[in-house]
Amino acid sequence: MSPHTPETREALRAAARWLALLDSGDASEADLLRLAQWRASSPLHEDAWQKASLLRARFAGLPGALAMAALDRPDAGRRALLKQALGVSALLPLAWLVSRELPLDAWTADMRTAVGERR
Amino acid sequence: MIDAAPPPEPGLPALYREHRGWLETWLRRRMGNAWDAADLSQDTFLRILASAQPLADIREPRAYLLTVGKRLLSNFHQRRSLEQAYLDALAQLPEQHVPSPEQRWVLLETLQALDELLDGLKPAIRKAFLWHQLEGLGYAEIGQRLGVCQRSVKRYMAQAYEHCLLAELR
Repeated sequence: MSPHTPETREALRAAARWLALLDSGDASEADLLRLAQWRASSPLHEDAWQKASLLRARFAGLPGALAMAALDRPDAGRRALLKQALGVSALLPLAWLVSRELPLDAWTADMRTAVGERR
Repeated sequence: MIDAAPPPEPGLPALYREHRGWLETWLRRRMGNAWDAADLSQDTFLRILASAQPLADIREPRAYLLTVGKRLLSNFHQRRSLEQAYLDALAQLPEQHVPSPEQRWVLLETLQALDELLDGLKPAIRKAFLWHQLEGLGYAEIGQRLGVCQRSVKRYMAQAYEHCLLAELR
């Protein structure tokens, strides 16, 4: 566990502002120079910058559409409402995955034929 | 003083012995599932074991257990909800885009970790951040979608990065 001093937190805050500036696409040459100076001026700053860059890289490595569906789901961040949503429906997508691994389709198809033949 | 209860034994073993059953019952009533409740009850004690809070300072053990347990329960629901959204999205993918089982697992783990970092962000900030990170939207377009100026979008982005970075410290 790393100690979180106010200085650590302040450095992370500053790194977050730097990332937000870079991501805007509006950073000037002078901004980049100031960022380099800021990073060089303290190991704490450089460490915060590395952490911030790593965080951004984690998002950048995700498949966009899939990650968006999961992280931007309608109930994200509204935990209290989730409890009721955890019924049988949670098992349905899992059933889909299982059916991809096992020849369940053939099995269910046979069953349907059998039912049809009885009529 | 003969009738008085013996003074509570200090330490985690005593806490565990005296309150685990009670906590598990509490959790089972909310989760409707004995296995998940047992897991979460264990996690609660593990969390307390790992925390810096000296056990001797805990005056209301059950209230303390509930505080920790409720947080873990909330995380549990959050993970379930993410997992469901993820599996739903996987099911929509054309076959050639479906990742291998190993990739699916690694990706789910990553998404759950990031979801925890994002937890607690205001919805607009969360949206702005995800649009930028995952859909590559620029600040101008994000601003239009949210009806705010670009300066606000930049502030949102900084807040989101800061929120995640500070969450990583926990």
